[in-house]
Amino acid sequence: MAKETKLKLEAPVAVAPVAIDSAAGLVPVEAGVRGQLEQKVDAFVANLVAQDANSPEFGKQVDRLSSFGQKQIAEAAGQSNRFLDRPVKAMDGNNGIGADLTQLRRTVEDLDPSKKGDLMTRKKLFGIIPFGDKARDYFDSYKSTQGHISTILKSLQNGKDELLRDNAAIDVERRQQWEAMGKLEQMIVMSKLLDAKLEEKAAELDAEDPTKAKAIRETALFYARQRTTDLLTQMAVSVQGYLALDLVKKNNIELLKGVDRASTTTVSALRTAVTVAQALTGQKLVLDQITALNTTTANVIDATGVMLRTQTAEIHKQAASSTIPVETLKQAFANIYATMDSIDTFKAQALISMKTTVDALSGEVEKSRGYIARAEGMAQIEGKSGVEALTPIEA
Amino acid sequence: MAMMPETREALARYDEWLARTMRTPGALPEALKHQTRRLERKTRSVGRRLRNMLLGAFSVVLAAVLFGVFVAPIGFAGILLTVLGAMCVMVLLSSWPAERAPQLDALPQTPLPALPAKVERWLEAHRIALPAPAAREIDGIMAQLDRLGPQLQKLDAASPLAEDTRRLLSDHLPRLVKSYAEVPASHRASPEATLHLRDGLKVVGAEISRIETTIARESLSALEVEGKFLESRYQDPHDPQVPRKP
Repeated sequence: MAKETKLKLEAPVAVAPVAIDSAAGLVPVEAGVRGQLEQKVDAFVANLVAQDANSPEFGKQVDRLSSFGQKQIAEAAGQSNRFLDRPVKAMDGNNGIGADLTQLRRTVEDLDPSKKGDLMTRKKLFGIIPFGDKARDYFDSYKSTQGHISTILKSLQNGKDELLRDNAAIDVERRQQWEAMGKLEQMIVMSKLLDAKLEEKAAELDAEDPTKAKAIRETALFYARQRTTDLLTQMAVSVQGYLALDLVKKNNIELLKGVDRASTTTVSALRTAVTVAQALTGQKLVLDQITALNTTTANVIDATGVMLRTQTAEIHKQAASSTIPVETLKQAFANIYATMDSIDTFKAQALISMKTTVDALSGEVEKSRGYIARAEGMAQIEGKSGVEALTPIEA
Repeated sequence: MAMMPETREALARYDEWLARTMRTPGALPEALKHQTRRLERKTRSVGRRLRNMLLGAFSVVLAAVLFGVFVAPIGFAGILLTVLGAMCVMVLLSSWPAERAPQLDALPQTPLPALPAKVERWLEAHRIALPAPAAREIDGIMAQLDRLGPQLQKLDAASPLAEDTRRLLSDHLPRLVKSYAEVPASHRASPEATLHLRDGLKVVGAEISRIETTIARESLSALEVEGKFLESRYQDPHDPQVPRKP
């Protein structure tokens, strides 16, 4: 049997909570956009200062601040919660890829030559009378199993497609989340600018119009600061969700590798069996499905296809020359087990890091949910959509 | 020469009417479409009535024949009675059951995909009470409702968007129309009331557009996912132009 490169599936590291202070600035805002945002903020502050502090118009402007960024937060929250809704595929042993792998293992175990005793001995009726050929019987069992194996491999292929589709969906979700985070970042830039400019204006007004300075500090500035915190909290959650999605994607990729390898090693073992049967019993073991498997698996696993082809040549050489061809076969089975074991180990590790990530994110989402509820309440009061002036710049 | 305030107001109203009817190229087809839809609904209703009338008359005649064959000959008087009965049934079925606008209380129980059609009919029934300047907003909303029905079928009834849609259509929109109708008739025609109503209707229209966009975006994302999947499944990552060899 050809030397296999050892399969090592690495579970990605769990995503740690993102500190709120470091959440801002992760998504870049272009200088041009920043300038436009600054203009918006300047216009807003100028408009606010121009109003009489007791007029309803002043109140209206302040109201706009209280619902500032609410839409962007809701949007980003919807996106980051999606990760929690996403079922962790293939980690579940009862369906999909997990179940297929379990079945494959069971089927392969039934064929394992190391469990059949010494294949070279002849079978004896009542332990005395020589009767039949043990090796011949053993290779016959392949014929009955081949249909089953090919069904499992096909099912694994479907599972692989599921994983690929899953990853495509993650790509799209991540892109959308990136956009949502971009808008959120713009809102953060604006809220920080608002904070600074309102503070500055209030200081200017302290001498000439203390009432207005007080009104600005107690209402507008208060809301602006509150919004900054809310936006930063949501940003932290979003960044974390964004990274968590990447974790799922990496998990899927590792699992894809595992499934590929499991299919390759199985087909490879079947081929070895065909060759060994020839060498051992002179019997031409015809596995109809094998031909089909050869083509399908080679299609499936482009990267490992080459490996399979070189292996076949080597198996032939080894089986023909080796005095102990059964060992070759045993090695082929050992390869399947090694693959399955590494998948199992990977799953166990991946589950832990998934759980850590989900727990961390759930906690953060819970925190940001408080704001969402508050924002819902504001939406009822707000009514009209006159908030046009303080919105992010569309790309 | 100074203009009287009333004259100025009247002129402003005229300008506004002119702007409403002339300057928007989309307005006329929209109104036409609306007319067509109303006509369609009428035709369907007439068809249903005709079918009911024919079925009613036929069943009266059938009953008379069965009676004549199995119980007792009905005679000339019987024939007369049958004809009379058939005519009565036809007259009755031509106007019964009356086409009734959906009741507001029934709206929350309506399944979401059927809701826009119901709200549209409700709006149609209350349209007569609404001022002419709001006609464009109403027409717009009705056209949107017409499109929205099939789209809502794809929406999961438990999703927040579905709840938003239901709240908007079955509560917020009817409430706006009702509170306008509750303004005393003497003040209803005032520019102020009309302005509030139109502003409210505009917000409703914008919100329905937002819902439409969101639903469309979901389908677009699904399409994008399929495209990306095919790419990752069949395309060589190093050379995107060449499909992976089978």
